[in-house]
Amino acid sequence: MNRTTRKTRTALGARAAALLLAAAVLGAALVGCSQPGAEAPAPAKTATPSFPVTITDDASRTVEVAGKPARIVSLAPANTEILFAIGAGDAVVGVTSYDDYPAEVADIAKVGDFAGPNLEAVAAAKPDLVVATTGVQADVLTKLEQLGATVIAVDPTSLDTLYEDIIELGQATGQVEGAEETVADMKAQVAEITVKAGAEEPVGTFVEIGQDPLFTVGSGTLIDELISLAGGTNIVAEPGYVPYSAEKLIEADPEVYMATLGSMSDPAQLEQRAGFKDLTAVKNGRVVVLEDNYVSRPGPRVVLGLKQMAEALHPQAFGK
Amino acid sequence: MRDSRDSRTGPALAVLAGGLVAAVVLGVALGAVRVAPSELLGALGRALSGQQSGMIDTLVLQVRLPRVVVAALVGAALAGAGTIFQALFRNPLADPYILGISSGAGLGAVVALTLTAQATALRYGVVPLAAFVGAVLTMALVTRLASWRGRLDAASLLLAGVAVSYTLAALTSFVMVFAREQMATVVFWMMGGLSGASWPYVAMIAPMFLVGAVASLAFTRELNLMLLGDERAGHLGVDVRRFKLIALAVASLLTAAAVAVAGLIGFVGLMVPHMVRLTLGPDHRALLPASFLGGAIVLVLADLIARTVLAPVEIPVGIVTALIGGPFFLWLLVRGERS
Amino acid sequence: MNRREVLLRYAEATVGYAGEAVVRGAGLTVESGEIVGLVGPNGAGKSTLLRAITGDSELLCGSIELAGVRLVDLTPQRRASLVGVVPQQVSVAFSFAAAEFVEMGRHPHLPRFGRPGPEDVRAVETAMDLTDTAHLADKPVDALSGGDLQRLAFAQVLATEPRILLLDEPVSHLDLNHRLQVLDLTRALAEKGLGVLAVFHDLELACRYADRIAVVASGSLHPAGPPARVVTAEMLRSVFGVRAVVGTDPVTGTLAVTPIIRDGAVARAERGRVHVVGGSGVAAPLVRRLVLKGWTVTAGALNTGDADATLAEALGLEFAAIPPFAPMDAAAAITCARLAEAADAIVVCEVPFGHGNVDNLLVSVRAGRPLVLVGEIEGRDFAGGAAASYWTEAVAGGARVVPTFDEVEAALDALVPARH
Repeated sequence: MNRTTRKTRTALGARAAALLLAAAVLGAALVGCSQPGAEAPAPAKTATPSFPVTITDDASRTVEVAGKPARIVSLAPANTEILFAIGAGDAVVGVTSYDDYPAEVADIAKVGDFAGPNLEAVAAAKPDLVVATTGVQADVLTKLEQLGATVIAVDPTSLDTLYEDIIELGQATGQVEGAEETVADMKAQVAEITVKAGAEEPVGTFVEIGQDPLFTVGSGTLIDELISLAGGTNIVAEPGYVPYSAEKLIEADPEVYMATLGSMSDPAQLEQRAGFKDLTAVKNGRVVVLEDNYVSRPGPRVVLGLKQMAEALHPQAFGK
Repeated sequence: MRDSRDSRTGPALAVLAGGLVAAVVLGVALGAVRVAPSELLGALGRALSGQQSGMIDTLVLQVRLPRVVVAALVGAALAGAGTIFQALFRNPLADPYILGISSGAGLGAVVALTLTAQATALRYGVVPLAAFVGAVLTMALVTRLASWRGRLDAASLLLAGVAVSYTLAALTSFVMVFAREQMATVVFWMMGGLSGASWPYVAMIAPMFLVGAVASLAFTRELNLMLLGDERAGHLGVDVRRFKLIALAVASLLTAAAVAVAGLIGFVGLMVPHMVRLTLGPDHRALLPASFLGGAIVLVLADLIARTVLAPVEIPVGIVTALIGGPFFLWLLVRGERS
Repeated sequence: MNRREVLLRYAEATVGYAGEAVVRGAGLTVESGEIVGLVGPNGAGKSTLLRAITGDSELLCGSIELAGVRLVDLTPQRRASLVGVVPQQVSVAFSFAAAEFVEMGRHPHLPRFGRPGPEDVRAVETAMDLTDTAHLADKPVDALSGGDLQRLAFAQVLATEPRILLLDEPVSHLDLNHRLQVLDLTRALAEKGLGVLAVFHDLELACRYADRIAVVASGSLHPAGPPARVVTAEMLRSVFGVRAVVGTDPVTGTLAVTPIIRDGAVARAERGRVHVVGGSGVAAPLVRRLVLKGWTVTAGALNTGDADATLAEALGLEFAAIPPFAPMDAAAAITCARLAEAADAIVVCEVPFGHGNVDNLLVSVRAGRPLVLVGEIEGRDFAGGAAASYWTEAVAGGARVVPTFDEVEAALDALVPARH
């Protein structure tokens, strides 16, 4: 996308967001006024009483959010999904080009991709809050702060940290109730799946996230946790994202072989790979392609990913 | 008189051949999964007698053995190509990628990876093919550009190589801007690796290697003469321009075949001929076959290290060769001698 | 020995680089058993002619034939088996053993997949014996001295067993001993039937070793001929711009070339005229210096064959020539008088005066021009006192006396003011 389009879109998005924000604030004010018993903070165009709020983000930074942000830029699709889920979607004025959920993001200005935000575009969006991730963008955090925005790094590696992050984002955006609802909802769904899956014998499994070389996830990752919750045992014990030995895979011979869509689009393809056609999982046809956006994005939709995994691991328990 | 050199060649090649056999045996015997020798032999026996059963057999015969064979062929091809380039450029620091083949192969691979993003099943055959075509077309382009200046001399070739290399690398980066999801895959491809090796890959690379090896062994004398300089080689009866084209084509074929199945593995094509020359001298009648064998040994062992040292995590083999290569050159520097 | 076979022929050959001709319409033959030398100024195209055979320069027009076959009809390998090229310089970047290096010369004779056989080994050994390099056989070539390497390169060529040898000034890096060795070897090879075409920068070596010499200058190759006919003082002046004396070396009997002055070094002759009386080579250093300074020099009566006479001839100076050992005659005296009177100044060198040449002194003294006398007359008068009396007359008349040649120029500068 060229600069002009981006800037135009940013400008349009900014304007649209401003309008939405104004409408939302007005709406909230009206709603707040008409529900005297609500626990919502006093509706006003001014900051709510819960501000300023101090947060420790996933980069171990202590961040103070001065007032309810009116313009938020999200630098990761997962974070965008969280923001929309907790109700802060209207304030979002900038997202990455990877963002595709919910549908509203199509109209929001794109300010970069996962590897690097376009600092000019971010600046043009005039955000007061930027929700980034750690790791890839650690060095960029400082630059973003220099633009005058408050920056929070959100990068959960487990379900618990995910829940915490959602709550924190709720505090940072003034959507505390929305955040708490989202988390409660997620916990409920997870519990439901865990109960069913937990009743079965754990099933050995392997999740491929890269094909050549063979890349998988090990302990300490979110996917690994999902596997356990879904009633599986990850044959990979090594920590993190690792290139894995095909030999070891053959030796471990998991019952179920899973792969993310980005790595492998067609399960039938597995048979072509050296040595794979003798794997139990392949012979029994228990090869499942997982939706990337569910399992790779630490956001509210991980529960869908968890569900997909659980169904793959224990089909009979889930009526498949 | 001359016997001392001649008589060293035979035994040296025999030792290297023995070394290769040993390396292959080691490569098949060791790996991320411990396989007892009896199981190994059993697997080989069952393969020969036609019956196949069990995970061990699959592991040894479908994963490990073809991988070792591919490593040997790729290592030999790179070392052989390096030897030829070093002779053509009269420079012991030339390597197979000197004329930009790596950039061409990289561009081919990136384009193929991007186009097959939604149909990853095709990658298996398409990516090596695209890398191969990219490498070959690059060589043709570089040669054509160089001879446009009239003579196919080293300076023209290098200039053309640099120009093409930078342009293709820029194009590659450009393509990656629009295919960011593939970036990790591309980067790993460029690092070089043998993890996907299989018998079909062996079938892909073996014929090209054989053609390249036989052809190059047939013109070892001319390679020697080229060391005297283009003019002198011409005096002694070499059709220099024609020979250069043939030698470049053969070296490119070897490199392209290696790069297609294994990505950009560095240092082997540079180190091995250099090491062999230091021991056996510059006569290509010994140097070339010894480089083929030496390259095979080095890569088989490097790959063994790559897949066992942190097992079951696999390191890209290009990192292992770089880790050997760095100190090697340091040692050369300290030693102070030019080959 | 058959001298008749023409091994190399240039027929109306035009050679050059990148379409630009350097030498046009060259015609030359080299027969078996002879050495033909090419001489000429730098850049004239001698090497270009040679390089046309190996394809290092272009044959733009005409043809070149090797043993009767046109060059264009020969493959590089076939051509290499006929023609051996001894290079000017050899550079080696890789450490082959010397014997392996020489063996490379066998390439034109080896089949595609063949290994060197006994006759190849023999050729290599013979070649190395002939060039006195056999003792270097196992040494790495990149450790050899320039001279050793040059001879080794020669050995490499000989290993090819060619019928024609091309040499492009191959002896410049060699010491005296090895220089002669290489050229003597070339001579011996020619006698065995090889045809040799060699570029020489050293004219004397060319005269000594070549059977015929051809001059390459101003874009053309002049017809070849025996050295005595080709290498003359006029050729040296017109082709090389050098005034030289061409004579016969008394020891070797071959042509000896003694360059005196470069045309280019000679300042334009505007300084003035000086008449120099000398003889037997005494005047030579002074004459040379004066000519360099731009003086038009004339000399007195000199016997032909006298060193000063030869010098004067070579320099194109006017003088009265008299037959060897003959005394001055009236004609010579008149000429001398004329020259002396026409001069701005006269210098009398430290020569002895006998009856045969005392008139030189007389004429000079009576000429009425400023006079510079060198040395003393004592011990030089063999004319019965006549010389001494003329001397005294000159001194009385205001002639300057200087002790040596070094002061002559200063005296002349004082006597004859420079005109600008």
